Amino acid sequence: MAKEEGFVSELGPEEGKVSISRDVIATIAGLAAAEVPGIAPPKGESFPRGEGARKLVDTQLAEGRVRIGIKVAVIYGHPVQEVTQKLQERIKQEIEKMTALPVEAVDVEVTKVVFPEEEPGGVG
Amino acid sequence: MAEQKLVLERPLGQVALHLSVLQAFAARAVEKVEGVRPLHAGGGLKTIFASPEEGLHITLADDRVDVELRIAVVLGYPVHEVAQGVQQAVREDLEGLAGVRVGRVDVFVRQVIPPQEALVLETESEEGEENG
Repeated sequence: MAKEEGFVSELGPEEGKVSISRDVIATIAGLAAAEVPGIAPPKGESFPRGEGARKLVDTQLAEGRVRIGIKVAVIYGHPVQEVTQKLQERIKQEIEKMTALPVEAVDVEVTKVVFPEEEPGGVG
Repeated sequence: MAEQKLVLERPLGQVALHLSVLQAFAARAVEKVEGVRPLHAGGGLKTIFASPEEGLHITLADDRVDVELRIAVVLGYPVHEVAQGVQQAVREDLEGLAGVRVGRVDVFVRQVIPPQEALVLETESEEGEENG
């Protein structure tokens, strides 16, 4: 199976299969991350979608289970462990809901702290 | 050299904190303490902490971090209390905000600065923040 084919879930021998690309999964993860208070994209104002999402979100499939790796920034003032746990829960939930693929783990890499006064856009 | 990370195992997967993230928390904690100033004229705390060797050094152990800080205290402030305040603030923020276990926080007071010089530094750094 070619890697670019994406993640395949077999619905059954007669119903055919569904293939979901890495970009789709990465985009879902990015969108989920954007909704977690205290989490910000490490660069720019929003989490990239489509191909760009692959730079921040790494997707791996092992034995039918998805493993996600995501790079994020944390907004200063939010407890890091709390917001990263919420992020993990949220991403797992969204990917499982939207793709029906089981998520084994969500690895989070915090690469930056954003201080509110430096946040682009300011009050939000 | 690759970015150093503190990796914590969590039920839903790893949470890795870049060293620069821990440094940012520690540097901001120091800024909250009254009577502490940068070591050299012309730069704010952030400038000094931008090069870790100079003012702030964090060592990553398996499951905890050790911190080493070099600071200057403004004359008139009780040096020991300021240093302890720095220790406490750094420990509190790294544990409470970053959520990491903190081992040692060693503070080295390297200089005392006359208040008038500190005032100049303060104005400079305020101007710098407005411009940036």
